[in-house]
Amino acid sequence: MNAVSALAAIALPPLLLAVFVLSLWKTARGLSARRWERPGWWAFPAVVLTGLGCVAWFAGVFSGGLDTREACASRGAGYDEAYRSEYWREPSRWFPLHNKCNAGFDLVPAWVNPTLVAIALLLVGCAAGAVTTAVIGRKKSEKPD
Amino acid sequence: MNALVMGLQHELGISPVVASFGPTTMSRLQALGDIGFGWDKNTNIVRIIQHGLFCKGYWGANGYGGYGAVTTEAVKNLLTDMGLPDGGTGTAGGVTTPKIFKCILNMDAYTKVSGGTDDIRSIQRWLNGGYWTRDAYTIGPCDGIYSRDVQKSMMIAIQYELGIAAPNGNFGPATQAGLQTKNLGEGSSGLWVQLFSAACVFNSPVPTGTSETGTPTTWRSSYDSKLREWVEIFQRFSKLDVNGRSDYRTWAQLLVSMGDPDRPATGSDTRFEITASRAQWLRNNGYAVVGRYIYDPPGSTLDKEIKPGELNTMFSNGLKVFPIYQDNARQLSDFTYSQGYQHALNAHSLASGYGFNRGTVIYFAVDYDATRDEIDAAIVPYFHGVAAGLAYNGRRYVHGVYGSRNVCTVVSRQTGARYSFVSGMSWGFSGNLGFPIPANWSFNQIKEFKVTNGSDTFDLDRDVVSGIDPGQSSVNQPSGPADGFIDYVQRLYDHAVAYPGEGDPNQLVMEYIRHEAYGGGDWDFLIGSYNSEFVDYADGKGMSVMTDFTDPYTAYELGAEHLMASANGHYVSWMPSNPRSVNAGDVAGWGGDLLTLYVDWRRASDQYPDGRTFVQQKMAKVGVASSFGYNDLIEDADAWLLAKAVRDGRTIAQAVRDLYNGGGGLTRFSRYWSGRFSGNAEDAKFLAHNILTAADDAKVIAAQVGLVTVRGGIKTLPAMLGYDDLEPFEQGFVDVMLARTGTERRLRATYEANHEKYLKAARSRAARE
Repeated sequence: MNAVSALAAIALPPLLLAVFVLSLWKTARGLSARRWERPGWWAFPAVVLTGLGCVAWFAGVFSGGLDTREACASRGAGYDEAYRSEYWREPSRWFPLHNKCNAGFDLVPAWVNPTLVAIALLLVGCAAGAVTTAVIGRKKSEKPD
Repeated sequence: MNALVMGLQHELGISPVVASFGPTTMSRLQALGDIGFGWDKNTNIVRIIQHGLFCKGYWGANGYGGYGAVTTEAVKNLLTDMGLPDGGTGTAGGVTTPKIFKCILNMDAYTKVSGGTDDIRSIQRWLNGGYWTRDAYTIGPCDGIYSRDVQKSMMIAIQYELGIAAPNGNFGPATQAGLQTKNLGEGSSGLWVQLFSAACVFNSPVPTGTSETGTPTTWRSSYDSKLREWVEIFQRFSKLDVNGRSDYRTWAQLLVSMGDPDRPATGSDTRFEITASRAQWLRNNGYAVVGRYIYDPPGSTLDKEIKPGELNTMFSNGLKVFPIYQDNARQLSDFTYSQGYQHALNAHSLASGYGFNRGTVIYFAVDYDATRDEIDAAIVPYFHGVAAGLAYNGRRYVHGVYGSRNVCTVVSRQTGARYSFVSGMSWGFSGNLGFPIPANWSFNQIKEFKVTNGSDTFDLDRDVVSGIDPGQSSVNQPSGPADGFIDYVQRLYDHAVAYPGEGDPNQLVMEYIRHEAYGGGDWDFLIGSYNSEFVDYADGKGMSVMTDFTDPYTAYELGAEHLMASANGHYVSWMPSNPRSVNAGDVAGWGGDLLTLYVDWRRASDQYPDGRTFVQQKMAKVGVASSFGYNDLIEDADAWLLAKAVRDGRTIAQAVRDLYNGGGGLTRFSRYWSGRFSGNAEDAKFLAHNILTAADDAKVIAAQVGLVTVRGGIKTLPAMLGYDDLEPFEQGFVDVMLARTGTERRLRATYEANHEKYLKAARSRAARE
């Protein structure tokens, strides 16, 4: 790893965190001040949702650890080789996230997939909000005085 | 509730008072008569009712001592929840009869509790509503949970419907005879279908294999096609004749743990030696498999262990065997973690002595009626000890469990017991009543009887066989499956070479072997994802993942998946040019293990303040529970050696052959030490320090945070620990590595002898084939 990428690895996390916190603050502030009527404001909740989505996705995708057998054992769940053999694609899938020890026990927390779906829907809502407010804004500006 | 019961006894003039609502309390209450609106003979008794109602979750009164409208309403609500008529409108009804009084003061819930189902609660209310006035029937809970009480209520209801004069809840001859006349099928309806369907719900869902959640059913009064389908699935799972009808054997299987004890069974177990004539008798009478004890504890007069030559007698007569280990195991005090550990060591030694093949399931017995509290407190820890003891010996044998349905279910879930040998004939055990048969049942012991074979007599238990554990039909199979692994890698490599898609054949082999257990998430991030097209291709060629094989040098069972995952890591992320630097390849191998060992140490830091002592005692120590065990170190070393060989131009198949058949493993630690750790303590210590603290590699940092803090729950990362604290831990790692290389030199002669023996066996097998 060269010095540039090392620096990026060290600097990137706090930078991303700062963007997230700023967006969170802008989102909260904008809600009370009716800034959501401006199309540009919708970028902030979108950033917040993307950040939360990343957290949820990482929580799910890294739920198996380096040794899935040990992870299952530590959670008191039996490692079913037959099941894993049958559903070997599951742990590498991007969505829905699953990493099952057996048919009845998933290492991916139950809240992860619903959260990802909810965030995706809310992101669509953000896009719709931005488009709607932009259209309304344009119509207002085109309105003859 | 006990205080209220004793208070009631005091008011009724009973002395001394006891914390139990017994027959005396009931008879005195009956003498007092029903208590309803306006009753004012004893305000304290009314208060007891009111406070009992509060305890049950009903608003018992606004003012205490008078049986007013509020108390009446509360009792009505209680009656409704129980499934009983409330007695009338307004201040009519809501009467506390002696039977209802008893219910107010017990611990049963009449509303659905966590884990309960609406279907079961409906059945509970229906049973209460239909039979509560009958003498033998006790009003049961309506909490939605199938339990011993519910089972008994059900049996008494059935006995009343069969016209049995004095129902007692037992599955006796009159009940059995009566149920033989209740052969219902699709198209039937009415009360008997309701009773049968209720029994089906109690045994639902049917676990149709470990990979599925099972097949549920719902309560109904018409025997429709859905119920018939469910019954067929249940019959198939229970090894009954599949006809979809409520025949007698299905009734019995639904109601009691042994089912019909006289149904056909092909399994058996006995404490008696299987002689040639007994083996012949067993074969002639349809038995195919026999459970035999591998141990008879000192002081026992049963003489129950397998006798010399007995296994050959069984095999030559076409019988299979499954081993049982029982050392007392008849009371709670027989079960502790350390007992389990010792028993496993003994069982391994004995089973090895008999020559049982690798992978044989040994059933460890729980031969008494353990309650759920006892299972959690002692039986589960005992089986954790068993698992650890078997792991100490390289997991040559696998643990199964013998016991009640509840024991088997809980032990299987919590300790990974492979199969359950259910003591079904003890149908009155609290662990059998009110629990469905476990999903992983292999044998169900249904009847004990005496065999008379000419002048010979012996006791035999009949066991129904599910078929998931076929039993053992041979012993002393050659235990050098490294040649099997070598052949397997060669075949896989050949497929990888022939694979029309892209990819380095060596890497494809490593990826294929690791893909089930070491794929996705962490591994994708660390060393990249595997080639799923090749997995499909190889699967299509009939390949599957070989999970383990035996190291010919140490006779230890090695995990092929972990080995190839680590080798894959080193292969794609080879050691940095600076020999003291670390990278993702190291995380995939020794580095990941050292980080998890650090977690173990911090968790035990009160006991081991000195990291060096901890590592010396825990790392790569045979028989010590550790996240960096001896097997792990062997696999780490072999993985690095395989990756190096492939990088040097050998194929993975050649590298595996060189390592396990060509004597490469004889010097594995020395070559690993000199190759990855530069052969000197100073570099090794630097490497240990870097894997724990280096901040110049994103993947290494992620491993530190991920393994130590996120997964391990240790807030103090190694880099946050003072050097004086961390340095001894690193030194401990160096000590162990040096000790292993030293041991390797000292034991070289033994290893060579083992290896020669192994090669000889391999040659002999090859000549036979």
